[in-house]
Order: sequence, then structure tokens, then C-alpha cells
Amino acid sequence: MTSNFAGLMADSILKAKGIRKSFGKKNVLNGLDIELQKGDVYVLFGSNGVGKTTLVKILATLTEQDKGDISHFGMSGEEHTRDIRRKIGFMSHEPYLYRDLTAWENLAFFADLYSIENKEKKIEEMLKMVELYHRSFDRVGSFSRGMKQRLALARTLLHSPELILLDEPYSGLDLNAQNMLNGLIKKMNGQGATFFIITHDIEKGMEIASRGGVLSKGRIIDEDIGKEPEAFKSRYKEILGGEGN
Amino acid sequence: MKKTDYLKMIFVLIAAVLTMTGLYMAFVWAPPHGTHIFDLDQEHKDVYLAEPISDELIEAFNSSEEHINLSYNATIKQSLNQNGRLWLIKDGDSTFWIMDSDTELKVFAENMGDVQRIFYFHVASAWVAYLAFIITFIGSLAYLKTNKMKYDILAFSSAEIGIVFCTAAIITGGLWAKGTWGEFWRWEDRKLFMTLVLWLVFMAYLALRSNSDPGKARARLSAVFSIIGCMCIPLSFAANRIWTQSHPTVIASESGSLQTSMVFTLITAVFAFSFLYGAILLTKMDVENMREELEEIKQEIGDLDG
Amino acid sequence: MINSMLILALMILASFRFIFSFIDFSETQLASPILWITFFFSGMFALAPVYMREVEQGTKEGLMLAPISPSAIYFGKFLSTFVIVLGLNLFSTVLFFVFFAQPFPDMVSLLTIIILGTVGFTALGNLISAISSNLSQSQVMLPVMLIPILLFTVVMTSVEATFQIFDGAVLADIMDGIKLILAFDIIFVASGYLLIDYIIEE
Repeated sequence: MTSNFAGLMADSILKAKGIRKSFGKKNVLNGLDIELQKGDVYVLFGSNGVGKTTLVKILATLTEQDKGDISHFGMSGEEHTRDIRRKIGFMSHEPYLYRDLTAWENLAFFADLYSIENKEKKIEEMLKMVELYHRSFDRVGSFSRGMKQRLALARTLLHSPELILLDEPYSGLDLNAQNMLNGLIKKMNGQGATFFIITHDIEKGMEIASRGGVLSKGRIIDEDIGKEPEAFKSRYKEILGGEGN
Repeated sequence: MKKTDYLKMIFVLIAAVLTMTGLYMAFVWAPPHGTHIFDLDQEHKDVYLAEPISDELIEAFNSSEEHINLSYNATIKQSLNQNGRLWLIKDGDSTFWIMDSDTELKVFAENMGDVQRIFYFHVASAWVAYLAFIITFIGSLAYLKTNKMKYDILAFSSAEIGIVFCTAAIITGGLWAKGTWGEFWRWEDRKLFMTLVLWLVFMAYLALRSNSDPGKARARLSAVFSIIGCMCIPLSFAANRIWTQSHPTVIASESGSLQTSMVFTLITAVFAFSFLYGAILLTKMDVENMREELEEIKQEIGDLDG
Repeated sequence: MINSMLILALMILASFRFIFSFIDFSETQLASPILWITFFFSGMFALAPVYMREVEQGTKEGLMLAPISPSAIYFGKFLSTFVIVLGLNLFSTVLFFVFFAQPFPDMVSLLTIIILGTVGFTALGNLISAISSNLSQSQVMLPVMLIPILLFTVVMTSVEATFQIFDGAVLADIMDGIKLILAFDIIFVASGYLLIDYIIEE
């Protein structure tokens, strides 16, 4: 059944339907639907505490939803989790880096976890890409927030994932690095990678978004991003004001 | 009313009837004086309950001087034998000591008096404690297998009740031991020790639960812990010879047996406590289920608010 | 971090030395319990950060995200802590003979028991450490959960066997103890392998 479905929708990278999640008494996600096609750069906007991080963790297979169905690359279910994880790159606001290891050692460790061939070359390429090659052998503990963020990006992209999930990628980066990141996203998107980005930074997010939406009260409420970007921005700011952040 | 409500009521009724009967049996019907006879066989120092020492023996003892030849008493001779001459010495009015020519003075038999009545509570609550821990073990396995919250609730409820009965078993056991052995606790006793360790394990289990947020993660963690505990501790005590055994074996062996009335009282007590456990377990699970439902209702209300 | 564990082992042994310097105790009787209490507590501090640090540094999710099975994580951590704890225990043993002027017992059997005991200790310790890393007050919860299960299985058996070794037993005399410890080792490693999935999963 699943394979038939995959055959019909070959380009569907991610399909989630009716996702619900609550923590104790607090309902975070409330029957959320989302679908990503290959080549999308989907940017989801939302203010703090509306469940963006919960959503992206569920999509990254880190957290289990209470209700609802998700399929990645036409696969779903526990037996496919490893195959799915191999194709996903996820950068959360935690860098997932070991303080006591050097930048190189960190990437080498993750390269082993993902059993990447030719890892020296790949790591070198990644470190150069995020402009940290000159700090390869410094301990990550001595890095600034922005450098860690860049290294985390290198870790995320190390295994050339097909679906890349970014959780607040702009925070902690200076303007230069933000532009670098957007450039990188565009480049990788050109190579066929699909992005799902959540952020509250409407300006930066709108620069790269091919599709987008606003997360509020556990649902995606506004997906009219493409038609009138300026109107979307002002609507979003209104929502922000309305939620009293 | 739900199906479990009827079941619960039946359990409560049976438990009540049996408890009343058991109390009557323990305090009125069964004789208060169970007697300890200590098997003098060097290899098996088991202690068991037996019929009171025959009047004949006591009379013979009283009429004699300090020592008497026991060879005339067939029932006791069985457990003594071999060395031939044995000396029986009476201490106070209820304890018999025995001495052969080589070995030291040993307690041979003693009248336990009213202390014996604690025994019914002790055995019954220890039985329920073990039963409850086994149910926790099964519930935990079932949870990991099926991922259904009801098994987590079963495991947790049973563990909590098990702790209560285990505490009761330890306290009544201590009281009984004080009356019988003259001390509250014997560290070399395997069963006592194991019960205490199981108690510790399940205290840790409850601590684990209280330090974790409700949900699937807590269910999984506590299930894993209780499985390891329930598996390893009994195994350790069964396999290890560090702990010597001197625990009373309830159903006695050849040379003496529990009095019939005491056997019936004990069985009644065990059944009464088992049904009591069943009734409490069903109630407890109901409460936990309601708590879950309440959370869900609160969420729905939260949805309306939001 | 390993430095501070060595120092902790030193401190525990030193405190035993000082405590017993006031009373005239036959040390032969106490050798085995002293050794194993030192192993137990210094080892526990080695186990505490194994999963805790992943949680504190926020790297646990990174591990979970990788396409590897939880049992691979378990075995990786088990092997590394085994090496660390074994080194720690050997260091404590050396220190023990420095502090307490003991005649040397049969070293082959002593080392066998220490190695086998350490396998069981780290196998179960890693599993419990993984459980406690998910709890609040995890620093307290690790010993709370570890002591009742570990002490009455591997540690007690090892204490008894070590006691016999200091009493002059050789390898052949303690075969029963060795078999039992080995059985626990197998059970703990197997349960670690089978149950870690349920713990690391989120």
C-alpha cells in the first residue's frame, strides 16, 4: 500500500496529516497538515512558543506525535526509520556538537555514524564551505555561538541529505553568515535538496522561500506567501502582535 | 456501571467475607500455640511448624531429673536418631533445648503462643507482595510489547500495592521473629533478605516514576527497570549460597506437620488477602484511568480556551 | 575527567585507611568489602555522566538522529566505560595494596573476579545510567536505582569470591562464584542489548 502510494507521488518528500501533540495539559499541535514536494524551500513562520520546534522534531523523527500520520519519501513506520534518518539533515538550535572534541573530530564522528565514504575529503569540503577550515583542530568549546552554528550546519549537510530541516537557522549568526547561509540554501536547492525552515525572522525567511506558511494555535493558518509577499509580511506582523509576544 | 465495576464489587465482597472468616479462624478457631520444632539434622536446619509437643513428652520431662533419655519417643526420635543418647533440657516453661554429647546446646522446640497468630498475616501479605510484583513484571512486559497505556497503569498500580503489602510483610515478619527467635531480624535469612531487597527495588521504581513526567517515556523507563529488578533479584537469591536459610517452611516435611486447623486458617488468610489485593488493584487502576481521562478533558477545555 | 575519578578512588581508599587506623581490625577480613565498596562508588561516578553529558550538551538528539540502532550506542558506551572502569579498578587495587599491607593473594583469580565483576557492573550500569539521564534529579536517581539491583547481584557475589581469594582460595575454589558472575554478565549485557531501544527512544 505504501509503495503504491510512493509510486503515485514520486516527488512527495514529506507528507504529514492531522498531526497532534500535547505536553501535559498544553496542546501544541492541533491537527496540522503539511506536504513538501521535491525542490521546495518551505519556510514556516511563527512566534516563540507556538510549537515550531516540536513540529520540526516530529518531522525529523526525533519526537513521536500523539496522533496523525507522517510519511517521508513515501516511507513510514518504524521499520523504515533508519532509512528515513539517513536522508534527513536536521539542524536544531542545539548544535549537537561535543565541546571537548575539535571541529574535525566532531565531523569525523558524525561521518562514522552516517558511514560516509571518503570522509576526510568530505569533511574538508564542509569545513571550507562554512569557512571554519582554519579552525579545524580547535576544540568546539572555544568556538563562538555563530561558529558553532556554522559547524552545526556543516554537520547537518555532511551526509548530503535530501530533506534538510532547519530550526531557527538565523539566530546567533551575524548578517554576513546569514547571507552566506541563504546563499548556501539556494545553491543546495539548485542541486535538488528540499528545505523545511522554521524561523521568526520574516525578512531573511522571505528571501529564500518558495513556499511558506504561518504556524499559529497548532495549525498552519496562512499559506498565501507567493502571491503577495508584502501583504503576507504585514499579516504576519499582525499575528505576532495579536499573540502578544 | 462498567464490567470492571461488577468485578470490583464481587472482589470486595469475597475479600470482606474471607477476611471476617479468616479473623475468626485465626483468633478463635485455630489454637494459638503453634510449636516450632527445629530439625537437628546438621544439613537441613529447617524450622517448621508442627503439632504441639505431646503432653506425654512434657510429662515425662517434668517428672524426670535434668536429663532424660528420649529414645522412647518415636516421633521425635526420627529427627534426632544416630547419636543415641540425647539430653533434653527445659528452659522456662515453653522452650525445649536439646543436647547430644558432641554438639552444642540447640533449641529443640518452643511454644510460640499468641505470636503465632501474626504468622497468618505475615504469610498472606508476603504472598500478596510477591504476587503484586509478579503482576508488575507481567504488566511491564506487556507494555513494552504492545505500547498500551493500560498495561503501564496495571504495572504501576500493582507495584504501589505490592510495596504496601511488602512493608506489612516485613513488619509482621519482624514481630513474629522477635516472638520466635528473640530478634527482629536475621540478616542471614535468605527470604527475609530477598523480600527487603525487592522492597528496595520497588522503592527505587516508585522514585523513578515520581521523577519522570507522565507519558510514554515514563512508562517505558519504569517498565525496563522493573523487568530487570524482577528478573535479577530472585535469580540472585536462588543461585547464591551466601545467604543461608533458616526461614520457616510453611508446609512442613515428614517429621511434623502444620495442624489442620492452622492450615485452613492460613489458606483462608491467603485467599482473603489475594482478593483484597484484586479489589484494591481494580480500584487503583480505575482511579488512574480516571486521572488520564481528566487530563484529556482538561486538554479539550484547553483547546476551547485557546 | 578520568583524573578526577582516579583521585576519587584514592580518596575513598585513603578514608578507609584512616578510619581503620584507629581500631585494631583484622584487615584480611575487610579487604574484600573495602575493595568492592571503592570499586562500586568510584565506578558509579564514572557511569553517571555517560548519558547525562549527552543530555546536558544537547548531543543526545544528534545521536538519535543518526541512522544507527540504539544498541550500537549502548555497546559503544559499554565498551568505553568498561575500559575506563576496569582501569580505575586496577588502579584502586594497586593503591589498596599500597595502603593496606596485605600479603598478596592469588592474583590470577583476583584479576578474573575484578574483570568479570566490572563487565557486569558496566553492562547494567550503562543501562541504568541511560534510564536516569531521562529523569529529574538524575544524579540522585542513578545510585538509587543502581544499588538495589547491582549490589545484590554482581557485587555481593564478587565480594564473597574476593573474600575467599584473600582467604587463600585459588581459581578452582571459586568456580561457583565465577559462574554466577558470568551468568549475571550475560544477563545484563543481553538485557542492555534488548531493552536500550525502549530507553533511548523519545
